[in-house]
Amino acid sequence: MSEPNSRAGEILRGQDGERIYLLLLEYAHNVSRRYGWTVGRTLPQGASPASVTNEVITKVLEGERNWDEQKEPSLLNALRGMVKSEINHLFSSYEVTHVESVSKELADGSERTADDFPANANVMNPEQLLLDHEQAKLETTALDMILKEVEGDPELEAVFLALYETDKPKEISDLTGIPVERVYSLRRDLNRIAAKITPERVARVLREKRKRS
Amino acid sequence: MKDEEQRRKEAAEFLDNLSSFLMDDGRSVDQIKEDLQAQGVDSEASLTAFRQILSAHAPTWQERAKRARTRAEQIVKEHVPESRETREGIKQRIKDLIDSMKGEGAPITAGAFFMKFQEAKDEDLKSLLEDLEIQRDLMKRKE
Repeated sequence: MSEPNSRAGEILRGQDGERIYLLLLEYAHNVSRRYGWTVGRTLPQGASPASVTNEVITKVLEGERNWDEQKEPSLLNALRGMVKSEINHLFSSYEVTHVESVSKELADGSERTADDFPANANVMNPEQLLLDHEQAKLETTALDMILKEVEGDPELEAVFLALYETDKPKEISDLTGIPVERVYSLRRDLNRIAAKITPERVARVLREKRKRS
Repeated sequence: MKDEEQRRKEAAEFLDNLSSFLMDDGRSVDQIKEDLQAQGVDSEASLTAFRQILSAHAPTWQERAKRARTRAEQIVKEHVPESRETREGIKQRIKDLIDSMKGEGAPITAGAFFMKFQEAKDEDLKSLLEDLEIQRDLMKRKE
């Protein structure tokens, strides 16, 4: 029988509790979208970023998931680790079902077999290679879609390019010459853009691209 | 193949950096709410759910006390109708007994008690019923 975590309850009930919750919820959305861009779908099994967030908090309060304050003094960081692990677990159920048959007649009439996947054969089997290839296509499609949204805005384009190098606002400011306060406000624009690039949209765009080619 | 691998690696790194860049712990609650709103998230509804979780899984002593009081009130409510019913049942049985004894010509000394039905406690009513039952049994034996 697990013991309720009264320390976590105390913090979540404290003056910073709602802020922690909202940041965790936002993190869950962010991580779900990031995984979603790789598999072209949202969370499976009827789960949502909110349901994962609420479940993790409930489990921590009930002591079903352990928060060791000595190891991780920040409750928010500990909760983020748990949320990421739950979301990763949920998405992993896709990865085994996402793979199509390796042997397949392609649109051009040619036959694809396991021999078409020779690279890294000692590391991945043909199914894994196909999956990896599919995920790469989805990710590059997501990136292209974001690029399309920022095109025409010199500041956003500069931040976009800097994101290949770093995720730190200060470093982005140094790279682009844009004042750091402005980088913060551009981040909000990018947040809106990223929210529009849903995993389903990415998958749809990739499908359409394939049909055209 | 190498180019494709490189492009994939860059895309993954870019998306990781973007996701991490979009997170900023230094924002105020209002700013976070606004950013969530931009993603189509109703932060007020989410906070309501959060408060319910806290109340259910990490209640304050006030919430615990309130819940205990509600539970106690519920128990009382559940039992009161039952005891009222019992009380009514006892009254009816007393009335039936008195009528039947009167019908048989018995002098009813319990009449005075009967008049005080409304004020009598449940225990007194039960006791009166028992007395009347004894009287009726005695009557029947005499017959």
